[in-house]
Amino acid sequence: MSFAFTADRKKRFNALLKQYPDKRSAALPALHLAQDQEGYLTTETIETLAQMLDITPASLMDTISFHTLFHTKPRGKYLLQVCQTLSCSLAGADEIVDHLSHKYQVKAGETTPDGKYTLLKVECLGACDTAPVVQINDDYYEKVSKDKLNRILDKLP
Amino acid sequence: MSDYQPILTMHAGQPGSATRDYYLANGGYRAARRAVLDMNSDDIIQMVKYSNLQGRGGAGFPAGVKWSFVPRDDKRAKYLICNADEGEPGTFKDRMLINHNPHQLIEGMIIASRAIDCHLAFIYIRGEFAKEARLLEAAVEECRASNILGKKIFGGKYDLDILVYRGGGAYICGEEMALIESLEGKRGWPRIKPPFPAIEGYLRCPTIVNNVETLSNLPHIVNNGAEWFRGIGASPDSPGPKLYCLSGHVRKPGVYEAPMGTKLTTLIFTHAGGTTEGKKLKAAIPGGSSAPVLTADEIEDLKMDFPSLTAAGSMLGSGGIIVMDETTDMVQACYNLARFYAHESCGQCTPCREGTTWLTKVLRRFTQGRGRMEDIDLIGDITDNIGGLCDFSKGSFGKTICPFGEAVSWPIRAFMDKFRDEFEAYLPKEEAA
Amino acid sequence: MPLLKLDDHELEVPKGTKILDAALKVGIEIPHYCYHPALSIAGSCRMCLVEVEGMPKLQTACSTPVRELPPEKKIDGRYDMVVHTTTGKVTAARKLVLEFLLLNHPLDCPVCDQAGECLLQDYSFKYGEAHSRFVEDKRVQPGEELGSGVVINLNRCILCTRCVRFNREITGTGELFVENRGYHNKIAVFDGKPLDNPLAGNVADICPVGALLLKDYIHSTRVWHLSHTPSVCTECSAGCSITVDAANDRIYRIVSRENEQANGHFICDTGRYAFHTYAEGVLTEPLMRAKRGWKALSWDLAYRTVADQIDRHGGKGAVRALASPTFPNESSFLLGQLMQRLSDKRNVALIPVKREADQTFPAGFKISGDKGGNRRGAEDMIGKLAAGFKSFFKDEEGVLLVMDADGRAEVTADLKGLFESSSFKVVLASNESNITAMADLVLPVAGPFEREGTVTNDQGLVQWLQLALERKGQARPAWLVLAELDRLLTGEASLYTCAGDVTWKINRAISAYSQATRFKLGLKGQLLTGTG
Ligand SMILES: Cc1cc2nc3c(=O)[nH]c(=O)nc-3n(C[C@H](O)[C@H](O)[C@H](O)COP(=O)(O)O)c2cc1C
Ligand code: SF4
Ligand code: FES
Ligand code: FES
Repeated sequence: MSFAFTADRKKRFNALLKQYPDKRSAALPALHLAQDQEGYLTTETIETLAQMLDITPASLMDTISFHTLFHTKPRGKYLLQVCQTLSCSLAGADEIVDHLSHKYQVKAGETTPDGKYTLLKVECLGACDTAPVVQINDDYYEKVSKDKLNRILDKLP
Repeated sequence: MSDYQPILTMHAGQPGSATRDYYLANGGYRAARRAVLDMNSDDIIQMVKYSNLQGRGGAGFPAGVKWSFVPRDDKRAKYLICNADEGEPGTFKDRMLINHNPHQLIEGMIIASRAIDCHLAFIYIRGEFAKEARLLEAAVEECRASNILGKKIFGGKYDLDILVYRGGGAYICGEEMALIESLEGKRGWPRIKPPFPAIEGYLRCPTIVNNVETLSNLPHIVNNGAEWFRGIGASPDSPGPKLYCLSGHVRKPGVYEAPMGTKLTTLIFTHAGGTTEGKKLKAAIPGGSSAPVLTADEIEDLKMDFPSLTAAGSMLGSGGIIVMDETTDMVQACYNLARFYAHESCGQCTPCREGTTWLTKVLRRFTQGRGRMEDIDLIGDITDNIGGLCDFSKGSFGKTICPFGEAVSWPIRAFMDKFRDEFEAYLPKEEAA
Repeated sequence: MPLLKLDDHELEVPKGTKILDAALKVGIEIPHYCYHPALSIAGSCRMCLVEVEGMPKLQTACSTPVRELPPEKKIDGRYDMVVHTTTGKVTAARKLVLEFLLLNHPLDCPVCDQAGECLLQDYSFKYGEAHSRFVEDKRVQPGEELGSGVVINLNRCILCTRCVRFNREITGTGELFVENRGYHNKIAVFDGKPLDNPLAGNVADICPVGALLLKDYIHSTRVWHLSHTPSVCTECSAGCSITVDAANDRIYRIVSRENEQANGHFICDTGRYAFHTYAEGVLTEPLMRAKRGWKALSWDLAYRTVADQIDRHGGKGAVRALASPTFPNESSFLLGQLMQRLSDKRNVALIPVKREADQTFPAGFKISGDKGGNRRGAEDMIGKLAAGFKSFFKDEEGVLLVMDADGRAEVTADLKGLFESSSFKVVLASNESNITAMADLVLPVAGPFEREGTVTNDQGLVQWLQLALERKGQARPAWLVLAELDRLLTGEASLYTCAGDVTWKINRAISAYSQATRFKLGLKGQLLTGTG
């Protein structure tokens, strides 16, 4: 379970180290890079990254666990992040959560047994004009309704 | 609508508006070129000071004045950080500016960098905006390829590079000191001020943090002059174009550019087409979720600029307007925000860490019909204990390191005070009697 | 210097001094949790809020510097800053912070080891409210072992982050961190990377509440049963000031005692836990080597045996002695005096003790590699020696008089040779050791926490070693044994009735020690004349 960047990512990581005035500042970009590659951050990944950044794994974990976008446990192939903050809530976000929860038989925070979907309730995604908003992995799906969401989900590979 | 011609969003919706070539073809980077080749730091600071451009990130601090705090003749590197963390519920203007015109922002950053003698600037963009981050990176790349960024830009003597930095998901990282910690690869725990970032910020070097919208104004100020800028809007003390974000119960939610000081009712009923299904307006949050909610009565004739909103007991904040019609359950809305703040408290200060969750738990009990009469006072007390007494006329009285404490207390308190009857209606029968 | 008005006190402090430090100076209590004088300022617990005239918000005393005003702006024409620590606003704010801190606290003082020395308990009593208005579910988290004998009870933690800062700033090892965000914040270690550094135990000392505790102390006693003896650690030559907490003649724990000239605020784990080793193999009566094992004998008989053996093996002139770098100055001094009277030859040296490399931590804390805790003092008492004793101890018969080094003596080839050539070996020791194993006669003396006298650290700081425990069985203080031997061998009456008498003699006999009087040492010690 050891971790190493792919050749391409390694190049990008090295470039990061050159760009930032100190090593530690490259932590967040490096974490995004690693999580993007691995899906989530394992103990080994964190230890390796910490070493590359010249900090202790504890110190890196401190940073990781503060920021909600980093995951240290396996998650589904699709991260269904439903915004639940006021504007989305006014636009019916709760129903969207209920719908997904029912559709995949999971509660918020859980992953389907086949490892395909993780349902998360998240806070304001900064797209309140197109509420309700669901972010699936990196992509925003806006002004979603149950039907629209079904169509989107059905098209996912 | 009025005859106001959009400035910041004039190219929004045009095909290719996000590309360098489009931008250049429409007069882009003239201002930056001028700032780099023909102006010195003092010229720019004086100009921006005179323009009265106030920060659009929330606090409304005059940008030029902030820049003038950066120590001169200081051997340390200086840094500019563009705050694109945009996390305040109800706010989505920076995303729009980035999507439609990233080069306007980059140009603004070149001007600001030049003013404070910065050679490495950052765009701290919230992690969820992955697409926007890629777009900005592409824009930066275009600039590097054409001597707009890099060494000796525009053929002069000035070097500048910009790095796009994706956050990791934390509202508090929009607070400038938390942002700086996060940029340093640490948890986003705000630092104690003073020292202010202009004196000791990123890597303990002088650092200026400005919002996307603030920076996007700069090319226009340099091109058209400070006097021109002061003439936009209702008052030269708080002038300029402003992006207002309308969401909630309105027919046409979206970002609307209008002169600073435009009436809130105009924005709601003219720009955004009125309430959904024409229902009666109950209330609106005028400046992002941290701004105390205003009732329909309070909104009459209210001008949307920094001083007017402060006078009305709220704030312009980020310009995020959340509209609520008569169907809105204000207890649920209040609980929704309390939960947001509890989730986002960084947990450093005792009152904020413990108080936000306590509030949420009490409010949740309320929404479940298990409230107690004394909880109403308790909620008031807890908010006071986190954010200090809510008295806008006397300034901020928070008891926490950063203004998050106030940002959670004031809105909750306003909900309670202004819609007390709705809270009481939630009490179980025995309690209400 | 700015003039500060702090409640009713007026004081001049250097510009930039934090209000809390100024208050400590004049003895005003401003309650605080996250502030610790040896650590960076966090300003996060919000307990130390005070009112500063001219500032609308309450300010944290720990982080707010005393400012200087231009003459025309001085408050009341004189003050640079006026601070109130007891106004209604301040006491209300304290009450509220305490209410917040206690929301999720289990309120388990009756079973908590910190009870009696807990700042949460103390401040709640003094500044808090009797009843909580919190009726929601409490946050309950399991306890965890962090490593290095430290356990955490997360429910009691108030997230002051002192422990995290300690491991980042003082040890530089950074094992502890804050995990998660906001209400879910908790102190943690990384998976598979436990707390593991030689200063780890300090986190229990600096934790203001009962969250961090030492495994060997948990549930062993209640703090109000303990006697607290200010003393000195002699495990290495740094000579850290310590407090020995004991009850019923048993040590329960050792904690650091602040001393700017010695250890600052901390001690190392070797010193902290050393007392456990001295509880084993305790010698309680004089022992003579017999055909099989050992035979107990009375002190009288033991002394007479020493005299007889001296007569039998080369007489007084052939006696050689080893003083100990772990015993207080008083015993080494008396041994030196005795040996001078027995012969004018060079006949006393130091027993060799382990030396390792010094360990210096990022914030400057040092664990000395010299495990002869009082080497400097011992050398001062017997005269500084060139390396070893090989040069003047010839392989010849004679009685060897040895003070043990509390288990840390190193049996070098030289030492072995010396023991082998000597005809009769007398060892003064408190516990069985590698040296008593080579003895013919063992004289039981007071153990490290049963001793009194002065010790000198490697910086020349002389401190008073205070007796924390009673001696066991028939053990006697080493200085007394040496005084008694002196009387027996020289026939002169002893001048000394207590260790302090010997100290007094040292003050007169050795000029560098003239100021290191029992009286002047106090709790913090005294630098040798001519040092510092
Ligand atoms: C809790 C909190 C969250 C904030 N979030 C943001 C944000 O998302 N974007 C932003 O520009 N400023 C935010 N701010 C304000 C920044 O601290 C800072 O004042 C601002 O970025 C300065 O830029 P300006 O002067 O151009 O407005 C936040 C402040 C606080 C207290
Ligand atoms: S007020 Fe809240 S968010 Fe701000 S530093 Fe304190 S705990 Fe963190
Ligand atoms: S409230 Fe959902 S995106 Fe802002
Ligand atoms: S002691 Fe000052 S804030 Fe904690």
